Amino acid sequence: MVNENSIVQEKMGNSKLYKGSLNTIILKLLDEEGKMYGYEITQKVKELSKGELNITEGALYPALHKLEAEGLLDVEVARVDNRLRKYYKLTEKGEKETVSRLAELEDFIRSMQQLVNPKWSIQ
Amino acid sequence: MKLTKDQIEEIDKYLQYLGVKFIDVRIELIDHLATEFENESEYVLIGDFLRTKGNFVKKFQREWDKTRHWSHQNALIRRILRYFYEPKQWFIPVCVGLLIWLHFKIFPDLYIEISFFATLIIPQCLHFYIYYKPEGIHKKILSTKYILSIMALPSIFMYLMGIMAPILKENPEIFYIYWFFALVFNIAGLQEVVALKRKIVRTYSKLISN
Repeated sequence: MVNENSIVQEKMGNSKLYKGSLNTIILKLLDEEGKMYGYEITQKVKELSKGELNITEGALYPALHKLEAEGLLDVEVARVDNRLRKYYKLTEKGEKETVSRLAELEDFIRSMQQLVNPKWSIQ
Repeated sequence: MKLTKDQIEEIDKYLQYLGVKFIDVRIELIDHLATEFENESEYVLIGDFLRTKGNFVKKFQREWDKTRHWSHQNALIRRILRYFYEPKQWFIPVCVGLLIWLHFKIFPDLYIEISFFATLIIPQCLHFYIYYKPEGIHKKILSTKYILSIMALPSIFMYLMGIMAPILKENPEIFYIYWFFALVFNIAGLQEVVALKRKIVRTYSKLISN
């Protein structure tokens, strides 16, 4: 059973570690895929992390709506099967923000690795 | 297994039963619930599956409302700040300042109160016009609601006049500064309203035309 209050559920580890990265994960996926809908994002994260990470629906949509409201995402409505589907895609501002947030995340990971394991670090 | 049109309608009815009345919120929820049911539900009947999603649906609408409301207020503040730190945006505060200075130079004090209230009331009326003018279908879109709430902050200048009047009458310099910021806030508010309206029409044109 998925706990709606947790940001990201994962089989191992601490969900708090992923809390601040949720928006960056979404931006990165949209940057790669072009446009995606909510359910597709949750499945893609699960697939890429080989089932280790599971973004809950209760966390995903507020994040998407916030990014949209900040002008980082744009929305497109299309008819699919018997229903309408809302696709999210990056705006020009969102593309720039993705680059900057990914650089920030990489810096953070590098710093953490230096702290946790000074003998091994990514280049 | 793809859901039938009747099953999609069942989801829609369930959402309305839970109080989700705006169509822009419903389309996203319908698609999410339908896709999840089609791909990974262990339930045979859609009704049984929906009953497990009550909390998610209620939280979805609540969070949407909260996020949007504050994001529009933040966007308004950011727009106002940009008027002052982005050279490309200086045009607006310069024009407002010039307008007030010309008024001070050309017109006698008699007209000041009329001009002041007119410049505050006109943007408020314009934003109501932008909200009410288009087709009624817009009211069924939750995002449209924020067209009204954006102007809440700029309208404070008008409502505060009762308290501020004695101070402003005694200090003309403060009055002109007050007027300047009131106009800047109102113009920024109107720009936000127009931008939001355009976005709603562009994004939800399929809903409006259906």
